[in-house]
Amino acid sequence: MKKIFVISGTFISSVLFSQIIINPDNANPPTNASVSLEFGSDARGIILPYVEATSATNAVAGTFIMDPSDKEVKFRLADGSWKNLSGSAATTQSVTSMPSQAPENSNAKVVIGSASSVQAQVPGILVLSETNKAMILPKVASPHINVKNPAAGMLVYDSANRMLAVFNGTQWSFWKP
Amino acid sequence: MKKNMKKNNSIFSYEKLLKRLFLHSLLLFAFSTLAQSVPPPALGDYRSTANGNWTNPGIWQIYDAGGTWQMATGFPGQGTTSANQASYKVIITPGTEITVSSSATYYFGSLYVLANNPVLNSHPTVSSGANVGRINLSGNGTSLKLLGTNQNIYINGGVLQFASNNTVLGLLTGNSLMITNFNGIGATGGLGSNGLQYGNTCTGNQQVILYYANGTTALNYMVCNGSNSDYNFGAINSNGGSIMAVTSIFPSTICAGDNAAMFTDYTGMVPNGKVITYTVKLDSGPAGYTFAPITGSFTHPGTAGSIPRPSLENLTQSGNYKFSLAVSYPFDNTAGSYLITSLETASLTVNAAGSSSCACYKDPAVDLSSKYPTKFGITSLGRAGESRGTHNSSWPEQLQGGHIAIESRTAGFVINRVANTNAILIPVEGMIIFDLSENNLKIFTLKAGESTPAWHVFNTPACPTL
Repeated sequence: MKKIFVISGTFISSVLFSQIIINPDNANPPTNASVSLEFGSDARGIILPYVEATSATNAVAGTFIMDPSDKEVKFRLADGSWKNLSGSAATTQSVTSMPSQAPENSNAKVVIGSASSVQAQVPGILVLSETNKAMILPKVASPHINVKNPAAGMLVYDSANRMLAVFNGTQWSFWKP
Repeated sequence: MKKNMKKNNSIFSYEKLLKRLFLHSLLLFAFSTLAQSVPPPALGDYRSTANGNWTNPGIWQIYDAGGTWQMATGFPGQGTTSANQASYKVIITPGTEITVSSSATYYFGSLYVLANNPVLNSHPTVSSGANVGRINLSGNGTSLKLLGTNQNIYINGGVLQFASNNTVLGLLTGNSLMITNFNGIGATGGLGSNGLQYGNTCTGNQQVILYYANGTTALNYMVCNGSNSDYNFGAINSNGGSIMAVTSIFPSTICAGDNAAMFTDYTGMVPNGKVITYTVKLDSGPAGYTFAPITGSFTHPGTAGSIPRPSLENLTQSGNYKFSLAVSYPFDNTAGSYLITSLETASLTVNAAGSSSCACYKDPAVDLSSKYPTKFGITSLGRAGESRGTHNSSWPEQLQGGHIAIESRTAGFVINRVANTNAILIPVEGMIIFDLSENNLKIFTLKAGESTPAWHVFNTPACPTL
């Protein structure tokens, strides 16, 4: 997909899709009916929104953010706490990209899945709402070698090591079962 | 010297016997003051109905699905192996005397030896008769080993008699031997007439032995050893008392640089007012690691904090650490009073950073000669397509290496939240969900060592091989 495609809350406050493939290799159909979101095979990941945990206090369990204040990729747990997925990775690089003055459209949300679902109502800039579908993480073998110039907040499935890999802007951290 | 110490420190009474077993095998004990009841019969349970040999089916009844006792066609433990453990209980009922005359190893539920308490006899009489259930280990060298998982022995007023020399009662280490309604506490000779008995004389190696699951001996605990016994039954019974150190380290396995905490406590039948002395020290550890021993004393009963619980912080050297806790108190106030002591150890394994179960952190791949702009973005900041003129410095192109960039100051990215993993009919590797039934992040993957992919919680920091 060479085309630049930006969905902006300035124009659209809620966007709905059912199944999405980003950067498909050869206009492939979705892998199967259980997929909510999947990606092509390029060595790329998902870049999480740069949200300070203190600004997302109403997040639901299952929410990912990249917290620029402490440079940790975080995951919201059921008890309302944030799990640090970056562990003790170094944090020497700064994490910035957002214009500090840009106004935020507080209603902006992209939903992939049913808009009527309860799950679609939860806070999030991108919400996968179907309760019978799952995202296939971007798969990259050894992302710390193969994803070039990764942006902070990157989320990838390491297909060589079968690990979840997250990048905090300075270093990659890895998780396994 | 060592033997001497053992002799001096050893306390024999039934309580102490049990305590010592506890010490070595994490057994759980209750004594005569604690009520002990047999759980209700369940399908397949055996009970004895007459005197006879253990292997005679005619003396056993079995509890059937209809809730009644029927004559058995086999004997309890028959055909059981470590890999094929039965779950039924075996109950020696009052008024029956079961003889084990050839060595046997059984794997079933728990064994109960019952009596209509109280049983009023005294050593050297060994209780028997209409109110007493009894097992006799008969014949030189005969052993009865119960080596199943959670296969405990409850002697509730009944008797397990080591009737011949070299007879052995074997338990799997970690399982319990619990004696209740023992009638010899405080009695002359300290033996009473029920519980574990050796009959008129102790002339041979009548033993309780704890075994590991593989059949090797974990602890050879001698009940009596003829004239060469380590224990002076009468004297020690009248002195009484016991103490056991309790210690553990949590977590027991950590990664280099992480912290662990050592738990310390003690239990036992310690008279109030005794001064308990403790020592916490490092027994062994990686070269160069030092730990200053912590010693002190306090008066029983202490509090949870009476024995310090050291934090083991920032352990950077990988390897195995072994710490010990020793507790002791003097029996009396004389200068030569022997010490009633216990020493327990706790181990900690520190894995090197980057080992298979420990985190490592990798620097990213940097390519200064090229740009890898992200071309798909979702933003709530209203800057779609801004700065189109400076292509690679606009958003989301300025963020490199993404299939997609998501932008917000207040809202995150919410993955599919599903009731449970069954909601995903056709899972494929790399799928990620939040499982509401277990409140866990799960990814469908092939876990190392498994043959088929499945949903797994990803909660272990890891390090890739390259």
